[in-house]
Formats: sequence, C-alpha cells, structure tokens
Amino acid sequence: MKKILSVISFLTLGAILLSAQSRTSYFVRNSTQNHYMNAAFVPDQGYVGVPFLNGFDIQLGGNFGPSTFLYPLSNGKTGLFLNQEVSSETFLSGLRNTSSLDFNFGYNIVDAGWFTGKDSFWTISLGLDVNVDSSIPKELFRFLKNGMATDPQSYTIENLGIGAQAYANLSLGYSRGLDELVKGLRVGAKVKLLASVADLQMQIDRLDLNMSSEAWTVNSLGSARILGGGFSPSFDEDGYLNGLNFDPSGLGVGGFGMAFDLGAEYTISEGTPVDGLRFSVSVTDLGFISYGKNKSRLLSADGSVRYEGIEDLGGEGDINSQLNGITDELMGLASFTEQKVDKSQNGSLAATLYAGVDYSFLDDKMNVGLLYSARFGRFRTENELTLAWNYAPVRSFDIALSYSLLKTHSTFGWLITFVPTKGVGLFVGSDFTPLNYTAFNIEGVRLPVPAKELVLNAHFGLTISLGGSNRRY
Amino acid sequence: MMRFNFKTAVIAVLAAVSAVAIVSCSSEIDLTDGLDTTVTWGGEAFSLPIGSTAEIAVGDFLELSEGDIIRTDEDGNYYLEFSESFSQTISMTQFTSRLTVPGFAHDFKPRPVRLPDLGDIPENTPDVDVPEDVPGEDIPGIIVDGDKIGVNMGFEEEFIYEFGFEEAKDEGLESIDRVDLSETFLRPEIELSGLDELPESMEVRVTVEVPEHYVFEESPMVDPEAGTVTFTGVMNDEGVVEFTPVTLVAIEFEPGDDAMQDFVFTDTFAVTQSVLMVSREDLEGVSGGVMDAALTIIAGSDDGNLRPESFRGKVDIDVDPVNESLVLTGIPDMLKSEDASLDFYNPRLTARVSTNANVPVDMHAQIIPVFPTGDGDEVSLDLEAPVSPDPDVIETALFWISSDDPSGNLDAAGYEWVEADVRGLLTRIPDEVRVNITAGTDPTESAYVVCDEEYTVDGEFAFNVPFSFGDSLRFAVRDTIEGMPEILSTLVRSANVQIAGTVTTTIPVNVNLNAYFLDSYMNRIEMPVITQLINGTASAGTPQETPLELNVPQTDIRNDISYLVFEFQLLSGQTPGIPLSEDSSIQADIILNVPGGVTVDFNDLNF
Repeated sequence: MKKILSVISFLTLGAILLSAQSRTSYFVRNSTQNHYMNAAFVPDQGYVGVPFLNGFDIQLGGNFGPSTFLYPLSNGKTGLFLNQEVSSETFLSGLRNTSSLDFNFGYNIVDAGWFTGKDSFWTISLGLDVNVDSSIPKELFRFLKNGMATDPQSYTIENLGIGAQAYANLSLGYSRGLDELVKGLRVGAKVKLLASVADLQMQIDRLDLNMSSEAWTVNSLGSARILGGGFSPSFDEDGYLNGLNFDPSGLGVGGFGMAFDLGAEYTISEGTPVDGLRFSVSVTDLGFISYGKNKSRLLSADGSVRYEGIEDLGGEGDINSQLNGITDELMGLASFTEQKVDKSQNGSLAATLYAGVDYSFLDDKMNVGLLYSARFGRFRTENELTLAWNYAPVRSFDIALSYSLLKTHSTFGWLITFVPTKGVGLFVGSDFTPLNYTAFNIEGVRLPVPAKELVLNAHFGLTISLGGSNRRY
Repeated sequence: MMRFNFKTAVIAVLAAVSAVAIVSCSSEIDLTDGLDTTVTWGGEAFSLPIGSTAEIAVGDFLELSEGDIIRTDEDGNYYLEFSESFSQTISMTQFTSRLTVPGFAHDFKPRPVRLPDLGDIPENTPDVDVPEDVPGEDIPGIIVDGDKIGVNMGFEEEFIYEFGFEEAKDEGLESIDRVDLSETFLRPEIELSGLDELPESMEVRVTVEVPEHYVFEESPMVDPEAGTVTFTGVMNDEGVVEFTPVTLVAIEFEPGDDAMQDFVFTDTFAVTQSVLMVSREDLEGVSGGVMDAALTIIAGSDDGNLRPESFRGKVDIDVDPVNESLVLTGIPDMLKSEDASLDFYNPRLTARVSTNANVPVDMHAQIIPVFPTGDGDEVSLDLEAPVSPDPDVIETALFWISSDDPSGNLDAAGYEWVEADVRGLLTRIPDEVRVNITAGTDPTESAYVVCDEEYTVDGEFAFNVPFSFGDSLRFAVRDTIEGMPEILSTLVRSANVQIAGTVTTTIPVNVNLNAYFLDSYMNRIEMPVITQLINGTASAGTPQETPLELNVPQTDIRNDISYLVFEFQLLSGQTPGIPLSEDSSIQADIILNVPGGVTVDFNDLNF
C-alpha cells in the first residue's frame, strides 16, 4: 500500500509541475506540442487548446537532490553535507561542475494549430512565462566543504548568480512541406512578439579567494540588472544594494521584443531501406527584449579586500566592532552599487537548439530517435542528449519513453498522447521522471523525493482535435 | 487504415506504468529524530590571521606619566628619581644683644687748674709733672711750646673697665677671639669753669693709655706702639672745648685667658697726660687765674654701649632638626609589590648642601625607607657644610653617597664621596622615604660670625636608582583585550584552538606569556591558563622572534568569552644589570589555527 502511495505521490508531484515543451514528445509524430521545439513539426490534424487548460508550465529543476546534501550519520540521524562525518570526496563527487536550481512557470492562454491547403500548417499561441534560473558553481561548495585544506588555499568561484524573467508572448507559426522541391523536406518558422514585465539578474562573475595564515584576500567582480517595472533596488547609507522593493503598481510592460523559431525536417522516402529516417533541426527563441533606459537599472560590484588581521588589537574600539568593520568591508565586495544607464538595455532569451534523428518502422507505428538539445541560458548552456522510443499502435494514441543522458543520470521520460481525429485529446508525461528516489521518513511516513537530482517535470494539456490533414494515414 | 487496438494500447500503457512502477526508494533519509544541523567548516588547515597587538612597550605596562618618579634616560633606560630638599636657618641675631655690653664714661674728680702767671713762667712749678714729650722748652710745671704756654691739669690716673659676655655663653658661645664693634668711639670730655671768659686759643690735650687688645682705627691720634691715644680739644665758637673721637674698631681677646672661662673681662685704662694750653697773648688776660676742670673719658656708641658687629670665636649652635617625609607617588602598584623585586643595580644618592654661613656646620642625616611592613634599613650620613667667607656668597658642597667608590665615574666629578650602603637601602620601591637631619655648628672650629645675620643652610638629597632586569626581577604586566567575538566562545567549545603567530620582542630577558579568558563580568573562564616562554633578545635593540603556540583545548565553557588577557611575566635574567628600557617592547602577531575546522550547530549561528 505504501508503495502505491509512493507512486501516486511522485506522479502527483510530477503532474503539478508542468511543462509544455517535452523532449519526449519531440519524436511523437502526432504531437500537438512538438512544434514548440521545431517550427517545422506538425501534428496529424489541427487542434485548439481547451480554454484555461491548454497549458500550464511550471517546472522546478535542479541537478542535485536531497541526497546531495543530506547524509546518514553514525548517530542515526541525518546530517548536512558540512557535517564532518561526510567526506569531501563523497560530497563533491555528487555535485556537477555547476549546480542549478531553476523554476519556470508558464501559462498558455491561447493555443491552436490548423492546416490550410494541402500541407500548410499554422499555429498561434498567447502565453505568459516566468523563468527563474540560478547557477551555483561547484567551487563554492568546495570552498564551503574544504575550507583551508592547505595553507595557503585558493578558490576561484565563477558564474554564481540568479536571474528571473517574466514576459508574455504572442506567436504565429507557419510550417510547409516542400516535397515539390525536395521530397520529405519540411520547414517552418514562428515569429513571436514579446512584452516583458521584468528581467532581473544578479551575478558574481568571478570571486577569487586566497586564504593563508598570513592574509586572506578576496577579489570580486559582479554585475546586476533590473529591467522593467515593479522592482526597484534599495540602498543603504553607503550606497550598497541592500534590498529589492516590489511595487505591484509598477508592474506592466517594461520592454518589448521579438523572437523567432526556425525549424526544418527531412524524411527519407526514396524506397531505400532507410526510408523513414528523419533528420530535424531547429532553433527556438532566437530574439531579444529591449528595455528603455528609464526602465533599466544597472549595478556592479568590483573590489578587492586584503585582510591581514586587525592592527592594534584591543586598541581603538573592541575587537568585535573591529571585526564587524572588516565584515562590512567584505560584504561590500558582494554589494552592488548603481551605475549610470545611458542607453536602452537588451535582455536576451534562452535560445534553444534542437537537432534530432529518428527512424520509423513497423509501418510507422514505432520509431526511435536521438535528440540533441542545447539551451543557451543566462548562466550556462544546458546540453542534453535524449534517446526516445515511440509506439503508436493506432493513429490516435502514442506512448513514448525517453532517457536523457546529460542533464540527469537517473531519470527517464515518458509521454502518453491521445489525439483523436476529432474530439478532446490529452497528453501527459515527463521528460525527467526520477528513477532513484529517497524517502523522507518522518515518524514512519515515507515521503519520496528524488534522491540525486531534484528534477520534477511533467507535461499536461488538453486539446480539441479539429481534423484536417493527416499525412501519415 | 489502422484500427485502434485497445488491447495493444492497454499493454502499452501497462508497460509504461510498469516502467514507472519499477522505480523505488533506494534510500531513506530518516528525519524522525530531526535533522542533525551540526556543521564543520574551515578545513584541516583552517587558519585566520587575527592581527597584531599593539607594540606594547614596557613603558605602556608601567603606565608612567610625565613627572612620575620613574623616569627614563636618553637611552630609554628606567630609573627611579626622587629627591627631598631641606632648608634651615642658623640665626646669629641673638649675639647682637648678648654681646652688647655697656661702654664706660669714667669721670675724673674735678680739680682746680691754675693758669700760669706770665711772671712765673720762668719759674719752675714743682707740683706739675711735665711730660717729656711735651714740645717746647723743658720748664718744670710750665709747658712752653712756642707761642703757647700750658699747664698740666693733673688728671693722670688709672681706671678700670669691666664687662662680660656671660649671656652669649648661654647662646652657645664657646670662645671668642675678637669682637668687631659697630660705631664705637673713645673720646674725652672736659668742663672748664671759674673764669669769666675762656681764651679763644685754649686747647686741652689728653692722652689715654688703652689696653693693647683694644683695636682702634688707624689715626695720628693713636700710637699703637705706646698703646695710647692722644686727644686734642680746641675751643669752639660756643666756648666749649671739643675733642675728636677715635673709633674703637674691635676688642681682641687672648686665647686661654682665664677670663674666657666666665667671659668676664677687666681692662685698665689710664690718663697719662692732661695739659691745658693757651697762647701767650691770650694768657695775659687770664694770667694766674684759677678755673675748675672736670674730665670724663667715654667709650661706647651713641647709646653708650659697645655694640658688636661681628665676632670671631667658637660657637656651638644646634639647628632645629629637619624631619621630612617624601611619599613616592605615581609608582604602579605592581612595581611596589613584593612580587616585583627589582634590581637596583647602581643606586646613587647625591646630596647638595648650600650655605652662606661662615660657621662650620656639621650635619647628620638619616635616610629611612618606609615600606608597608615598616621601616627598612636606614642609612646614616655625616656631612660637613661648606663655609662661606661672605654672607652674600652661597657656597655649595656636593656629596656622592654610594656603596662603591665612584672614582672613574664621570658623573661623580665634583662630588665628595661618602660611603654608605645605599644598595641595601633600596631593595624594592618604598612607599615613602623619611629624611631626618640634625645639624649644628662645629664648636671646635673658630668662626667669623656676623651678628644680626641669619645664615641659611639648605640642600637636597636626590636619589637616582636605575633598575634593571636582574636575577631578582619578577615583573608581570597584563594587557586585556576586550570585545572578543562570540565566535571565539563557539570555537573553544567545539574544537582545539591554537593561538599561533609570532611574538617579537626587544626585551632583553625571557618573558613568560600567559593567556586566559574572562567572561563579561571579568571573571576567569574556567579553563587552564595557557603558557608559553618567549625568548628575550640576546642583543639589546635587536628584535627576537619566537613562534607563538598557545594551545587552547576544547573546553565546554559555561560563559562566553568577553576578554582575552595576555599576561607578560618578565623572568629573571642571567646577567643582572641589564637596563630596563622604556623602549623595550613586545608585540604579538596572532593567527588563529583551528585544525579540522569549526564545528557548530547551524541553528546556533546568528546571521
């Protein structure tokens, strides 16, 4: 019974964390969602999203899990990674070079696609996206865990940051088969009009720590930006950033932008043994959002502190106050001061590159594919390689399994798609369903949580099929 | 066209669900007992430079201020310097009155004097003793001196003058050699009557024989060889015969004179000649006339007394004792404590005595250190004051009082060495120093004493006591560093902490460094005192570095640490006499080592 509850629990967890862009669906031939990844892709028929249920997009993703930071101790308790019983090797081996914890929220208000002519497919969508990205380099954890393993000891911490972005997008897509030019070739494109609410980012580009018994030195270089409305920085008496004020009344359109999705697919159908082999490539969110300079606040942190101890211990003032002064100085390194903004600022989007190849067989009822994707985020580029298997025993039903190799090591993807010729269809699945769980045992109640990677991701949507072209059948 | 195969679909779904179902909880994080939030941070070689203490000079420890008794020389070496001065007056005013005696005015019995009859001049007058030295013709009874004719008045006789200095003896006069008199004169007076009118040319000559120890002002009237003084009186406009007085300068006394025993003196005077002279012309009018003559011999000043101005003799005068006490303030208690036994390696006591007295003065001084436990060993000194030839001139004598002969010590040049155990006088710093001085004139030496004078005798005893690191030195000072951060308490509770770094010292002896902690109430934290020996510098002025290794064991202290106390205990040196310099200092560069890092409960941290 507990096991059933556990399964239900993690499915529920996955279900509430929705994402409309499923890599597992990339090779699902009848998917109404994979055109979000490749503008050339089209489903078997037109559709329209069920109002208010056609797409929520909430995602929490981290490349670490509770087991990364929590360890059983000899006293029977669970301890933190900084517990001395946890060896540095054990802890650090469980970390990627960069730890991330991202959160995405999306809400599609309008989503529809329809065929015109023989092989033209149009899509239109209106949605709102909120993305929060963070980047924690492994070196920071190495510093926390190892401290001064030697004398001297140095650390270079780069690319430590957090960013958030909220914008609305209105997209119009068009896909057309070009069999008359090259048999099996199809291309597509989308144009997106973007209206941004805010784009926030704070980043330590480089932090050099040198610790020795003679001196500690810290060099920092950081930057921050607040683009859009609703948010404003607050500063202390020294001019250092000490908070972020949120004024709901200031929310609104802070910047406008434009983005494009481009895609192409080519399916071999020349009567050769490799007929059904399809190559596809696309790029999404290739664009920008521009913010006026009056909607832009830029900050920077750049400094160096060398601490060699307190001169004249016990002299002027007590040590506590002297240490507080040094602490303030150190904190000043990570404190941001405002910079003059003399021109409009551009916020970038996280463009994503997809490149895939799949092969259909069994009369197109089954296919396998390999998808490479690269998401060019604000702090890092996420590369992913996904193996997918699809099986569509009937045209309206498809089941897919996938395994992603790079981002995670202990998850699998799955997707069930039901798209009738006409009527209400659905899709549900997950790109990263953890295989390895740990359980929080709280007084006998075991709550499963992903053990190694806190990736909770699922896709859900309801669509209404409109009929139209069905190329496959 | 492919039909929907429900069975196949079910199989597919089941396959997918099965794939999900195969996942399981491979581990368990047991939070039943809560999360252990103990964290360790810092690493195996965790080391934090804490900083440098101030360069703590010995002077800082002593907390000396300008004007304190402890001073430093140009080389920064410490010495105690304090002094006690004294001043006393030796008054001689009493001798003015005690040596003032009545003069004398000896009246001779009046007698008639018959003027020569011009007719009788050729004849001798046998009753008249004509002195041989009367100039003129040797005519008995009648004196003929050119145009003048005289007659002996017959006052030749001796008289006695007796006086005494008995009261001066009571004032300390032991003997007297001479008394210098102030405005004292010897002169005769004569009254002549019986004639209607005295001749204008009349003059009277009186010769007085005086004792030879009476000293008169040099004058033609005085014949020192003969021991006489001859007065010649002439008639003035008022018809009175006037004599010019002769100044009596002094009276000298014979040493060993029996009269000296009682200071009562008897001297004999005599009139050896009394002659009245008239010109032959004026004698014609009064020739043969008889007149009455009254002669008085007077010695004294205007008031009739012999008033001394000064005298030479031996006096025995005790000066009022001087009892002075010098409280030694401004000395840190630590230096005065019994624990701080300092090495006074070259104590020096000097004395200065200044006076304008022409009287030999002997001084006896007692110098007594006073400690909380009572009087220490005293030093007694006999000092001889200088003698000034002139009351307006101050003479000074300098004395170098020490245990050892200062010969060769340039500082002692000009001083007279007085041997005394000064080293034993100061074994440690007393609370006060008492100086008792008794002084008196030397009755064995004859002195010139100016009466009405008040001589001053003043001086000063000055102590100059360099102290040093010696074999008896124990000298502890503390430096309390306040405002310890809370994390230090956490550190001590969670790990073995090592206070490392370097101690740099220019103090020429070893230093025992003790460290301990105090809580906010200044109470000692209940943990052992951490101690380390710091090597002193081998060469003065050359910094000596010693690695600092104070190991603070992990201790479950009850109260938080608020203060860190460094106690520097200067240890005995191998070589006594190394000066303790104000510039000698010690400084610690402190590094906090926490091998293995700091283990704390995350919940206890204050952010």
